[in-house]
Amino acid sequence: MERSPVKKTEPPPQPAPRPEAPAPPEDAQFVNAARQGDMYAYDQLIRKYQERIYATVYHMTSNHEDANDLAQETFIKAYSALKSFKGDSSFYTWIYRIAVNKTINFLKQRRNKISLSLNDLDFNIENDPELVAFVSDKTPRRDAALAELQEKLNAGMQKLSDVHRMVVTLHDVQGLSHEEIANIMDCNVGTVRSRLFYARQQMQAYLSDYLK
Amino acid sequence: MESSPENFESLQKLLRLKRYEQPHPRYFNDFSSRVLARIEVGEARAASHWWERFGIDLRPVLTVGAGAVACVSLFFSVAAAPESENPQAMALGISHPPIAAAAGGAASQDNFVQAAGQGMVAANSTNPVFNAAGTMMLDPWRARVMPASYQIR
Repeated sequence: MERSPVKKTEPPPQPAPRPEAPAPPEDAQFVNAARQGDMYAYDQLIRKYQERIYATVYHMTSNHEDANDLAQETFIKAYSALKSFKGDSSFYTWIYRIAVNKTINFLKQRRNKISLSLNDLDFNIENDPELVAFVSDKTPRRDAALAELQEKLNAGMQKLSDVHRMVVTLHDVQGLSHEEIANIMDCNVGTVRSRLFYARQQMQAYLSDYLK
Repeated sequence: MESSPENFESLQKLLRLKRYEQPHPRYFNDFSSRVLARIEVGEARAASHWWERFGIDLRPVLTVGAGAVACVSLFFSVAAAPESENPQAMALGISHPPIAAAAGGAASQDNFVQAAGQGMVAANSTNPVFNAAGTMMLDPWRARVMPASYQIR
């Protein structure tokens, strides 16, 4: 598994914006223009959603290279399917759905061939006292402890089934609501809640040493 | 194992760590360019012939096929060419038209030789008649055994 210590970078991590919010008017304009073959318009859509799509796929795969490929393929697939996009949902929800389906299909093929390739932790984690508190009590070597915790966390995520990991990723990591997740995963809210509860139980058992 | 909301809250805090996992700082700078490049490559491939989408280059096959068709056409055209119907010429094994005409007109080998002696054809052992117009090279099926020499009375 590849990994490196905490790095010094600028952008602070942000939870994903809510996809259920009405699509900004410029999204519809860009979508219409992209349908006509306007690559500049599609470029704008990619730039707007690339981080969120990449993050979703990355947290599902725990592998940067796979996330890179799948995120690109998601936008390629969306471009080829733009003509079939009827606008019933926002472009964001629609492309999110493509990313989720593509990732789950990929994970089915990758079964039993899990290899972690984790991204570095952002320097701004030092400004998150609640997270730092998880490791500061255990060891003074905070970076190493955070790296170890990161690996343990990702290993625990990979022990979940694909749908359970997806729910945890979308809700607890990305910050989406149950309704949004139900819309994206094409299931009812009750299913989302039960999956989330079960997945948290599994994760809690696996990470019990860190949660005491 | 406990599963109280308090503990889930603790787990949720821990899961926030994943938000800090970020790719290289400049990773997204050219992300859209890479996507658009792949889209354009895909469109160019879709606009090409269907077999090229599978990486098959048919140019060598077409070249060889055209050559084979040309060879087969030549073979059958040569094979189907009408034989000389002049019985006199056939009897003499002469297929070259001027010679056959001369042979038919003379109605005998002697007359043919006479005609040859008059300069219409030059038939002798050092200058076979079928060599006059390159017949051997272009029409191997019409090649006949020719007398190597003639008796001249």
